[in-house]
Amino acid sequence: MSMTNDPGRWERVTEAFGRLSDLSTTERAAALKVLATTDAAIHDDVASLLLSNDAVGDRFDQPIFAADPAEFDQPSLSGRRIGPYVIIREIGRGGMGAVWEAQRADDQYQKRVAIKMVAMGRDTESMLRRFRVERELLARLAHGNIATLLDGGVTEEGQPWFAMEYVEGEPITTWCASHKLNVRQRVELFRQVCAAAQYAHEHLVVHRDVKPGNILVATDGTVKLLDFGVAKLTESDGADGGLTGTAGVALTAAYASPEQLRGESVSTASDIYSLGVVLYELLTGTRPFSSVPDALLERTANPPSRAVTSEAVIAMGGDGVRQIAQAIEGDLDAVVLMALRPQPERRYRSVQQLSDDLQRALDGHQVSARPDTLGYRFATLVRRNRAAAMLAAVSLLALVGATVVSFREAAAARAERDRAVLETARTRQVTQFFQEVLSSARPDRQGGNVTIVQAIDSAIARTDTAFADQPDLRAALKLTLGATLANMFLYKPAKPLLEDALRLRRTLDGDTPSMDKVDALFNLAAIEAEVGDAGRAESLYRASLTMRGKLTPGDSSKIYEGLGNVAEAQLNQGKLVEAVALYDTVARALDRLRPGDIELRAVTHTNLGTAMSQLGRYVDAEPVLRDALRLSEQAKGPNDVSVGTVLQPLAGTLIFTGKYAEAEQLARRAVAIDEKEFGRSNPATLSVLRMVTGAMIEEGHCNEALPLIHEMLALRGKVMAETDPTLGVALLQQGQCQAAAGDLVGSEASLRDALAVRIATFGEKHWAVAQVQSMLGEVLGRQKRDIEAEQLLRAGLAGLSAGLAPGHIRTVQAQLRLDAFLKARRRS
Amino acid sequence: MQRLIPLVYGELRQLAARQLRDERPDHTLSPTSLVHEAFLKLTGNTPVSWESRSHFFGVAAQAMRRILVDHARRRTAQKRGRQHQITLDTAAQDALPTSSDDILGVDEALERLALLDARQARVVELRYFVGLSIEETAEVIGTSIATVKRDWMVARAWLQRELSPAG
Repeated sequence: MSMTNDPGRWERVTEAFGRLSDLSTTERAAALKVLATTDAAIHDDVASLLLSNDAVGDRFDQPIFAADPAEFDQPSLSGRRIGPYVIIREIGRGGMGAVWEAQRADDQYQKRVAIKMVAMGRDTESMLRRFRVERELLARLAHGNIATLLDGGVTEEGQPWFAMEYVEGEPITTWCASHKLNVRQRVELFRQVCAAAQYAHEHLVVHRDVKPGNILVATDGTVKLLDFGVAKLTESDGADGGLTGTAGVALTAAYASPEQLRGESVSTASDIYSLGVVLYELLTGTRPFSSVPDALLERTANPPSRAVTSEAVIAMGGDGVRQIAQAIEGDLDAVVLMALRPQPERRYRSVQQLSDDLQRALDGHQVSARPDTLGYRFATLVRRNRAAAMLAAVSLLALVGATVVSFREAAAARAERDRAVLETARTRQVTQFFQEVLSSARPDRQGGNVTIVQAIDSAIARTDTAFADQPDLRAALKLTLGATLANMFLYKPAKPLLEDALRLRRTLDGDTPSMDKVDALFNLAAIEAEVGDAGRAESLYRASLTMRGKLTPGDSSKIYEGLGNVAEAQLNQGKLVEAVALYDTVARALDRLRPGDIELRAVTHTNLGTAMSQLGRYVDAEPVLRDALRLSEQAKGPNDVSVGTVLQPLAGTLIFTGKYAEAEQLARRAVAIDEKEFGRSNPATLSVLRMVTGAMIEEGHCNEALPLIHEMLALRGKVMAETDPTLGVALLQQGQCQAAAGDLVGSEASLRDALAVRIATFGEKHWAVAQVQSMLGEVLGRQKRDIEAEQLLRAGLAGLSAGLAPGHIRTVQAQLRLDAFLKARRRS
Repeated sequence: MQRLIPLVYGELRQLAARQLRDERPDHTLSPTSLVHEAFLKLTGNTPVSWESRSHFFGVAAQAMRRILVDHARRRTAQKRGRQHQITLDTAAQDALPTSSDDILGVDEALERLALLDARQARVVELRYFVGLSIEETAEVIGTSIATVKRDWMVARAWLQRELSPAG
């Protein structure tokens, strides 16, 4: 809709919209017709807004944060009949509604059940429909550690309810305390919880609200996990209708994963996180984060061994803090922290893995969890009490130390002994400053915790006043702190510090190259690349590298490594050709200068090959990716995930260079790696599986491909969201095979479905949409529906030419389809 | 107005933290209660004129919006990751709409709506980012309930249109 310079226009739109939105469909059509003559300028706008209004549903009705449980308060229902049950008493109340004990009205054995009324913002038709689907899914879960779903329905008022196995028990946390379980017993009990979660995940059900209140231990010591999948039912009706999206869920914030708190896609990894919080609490008596913003900011938790509380000591009976901490330290620390990683993809791939690792930890075997990498470890400096403040200081000093190295490098490069001495003195003063700031942080009266973030805040404030008469030192402070914060992803406060540092240095010594400026520029570039503008990132990277080249002319390998970042920034600006040229230079240079750094070379070659492949230069990409594969295998072994990341583009490339059999074989290898790592029904695995089927189809083996395609399509709306690129591909492949078998009607349906999915995924103007248009045009042409066929074939060709590099094989194929169609039409 | 925003922003963040650190195991973050609490804290027991109350809610809505948008930005940024690994398909994961993108999308769309009708954009801020009711929104803006209802309807439809992929 065009924005015109007609000042009263939007008012008129609003007025007409308000008037027409109240009308019935027929009245509305008539009124629109009138509007077309009385105010033609706004007719289209009003008409499309009315359509959007019909589609909007309750999308914006819930405020963007989670809803307030108070809104769901419900009156007592004792004595009321719900389905075949009679309510006895209320036994609990939570964010999702209340729970009642009930028994069957007609049951002579008086079997007790727990009835849960699910509070829903609105009982819309589609919600109730989804409720029924979910109930079916949940009723299929039959596991000794899961409270069975017995029944469910909708009350006369339209409110959905569930009847579940009544579990007489205590929440796992209180049970462990009242039975004074020690660390080993707690872990063993917790593994029952894992068994239940793993079983449900295998049945494509994610719990979404794992917390002690939902994990009861029955009197015989059996763990029962309640409310599986129930959280999903309280979601507002998202536009996608799939497994994603949690906006509006009254989730339990303290146990929710960062992605849930942000209202993003929820997966099995979210349950793994929540399980991690529960285990943390079982081991230490406290939760990993004292506030949700900590989790949201993706900080890393303290190792449990350092968080053991006196409550835990009492609850475990006998053992003191030190014994408990010793039992946890090392392996159990690593396992818990791996489950609690802020990024879902960096947690355990499955609950089974978590559970196995716990068993290994108990047996004293080596666990698979590894301590987090250095880069992430800085983020662990979250919260320390006074006693631990020095510890935080020491860790931060390690970081300061890293910057110190570059001061020294700069000094050495200039080979000025005096200057070097000065640098050392400067370093000492900077270090001392941070030591003071960090150790002076005091616990605040309320929480008893002092956060390193508070310490950093105070450090930021003091960088302006400290060393008032020594701008040189002030610049060093700001640079160190800015670089530290940037490493902790705290870009917002980092940026002004780095800019100040740069400005101060320029005031001091103009444009003379210095390592400080190199560092400031590089960090600013990295920030732009992350949260700003790729173009600015590129020029800042370049400025930094140019200066570095002047300072350390001997060490060009560092420059080339940095040029990899420049290429990435170019890629993000869509400058594919330039990015490929630069990656090429970088890859060659690093092969020569850093032959032993296999991992770095593998990544560079992978990126070069992938970018070439994106550009449609498949023939060039092939040998590069083969090199990348060899290097990755050498660096990480043949079955590492990183090998999978190379196999994927290589298989994709080989499909285009016509080596279908090899493509299929490599894609299968990638599937095997990903399957082991992520599970079979995982979007990552499926994204390679679709290459296996793609290669099969090219080989003409639709009969082999179809079962796999059906396997992928069966996961639609489960693990595969409507906008998953794999869905579009699978539908397209199904359409191809149907067309090949002569089923033109089926093929048309599949391709139209694929078209809708791809438009939703990429937007209408993407080449991926054009590709489907072209194929659909071909199928319609074979049905002699010439007008629409030609339209689609031409639109497809135009879209592909616009979106892909000239001469791309997909464009050529579309051209061939159009030519064949025109030729056939002339003949008939 | 401008000077008040950082103050309210800071207050809201702290309150969010404290509320969630509380003992109650089951509670969730409700923007409405947060904003109310921030208001009480900043004004204390001093009687406050109706104007400054409305003024406050207007500012709080902006602050709340900024908090949410900042989270979403940070998230989108981190999703892009710090590694140099890129993926083959331009059918890339980056293209997937997520809730973070939703927040950012609504935020951007609101900027555009404000150019068409500033009041309608404010209604969305108060309803969607703070969770005020129609009545409360009308009180804060100082207009009739009917006007807010109509503004809300058209703004919702407009957002829906702006945010749909086919748009």
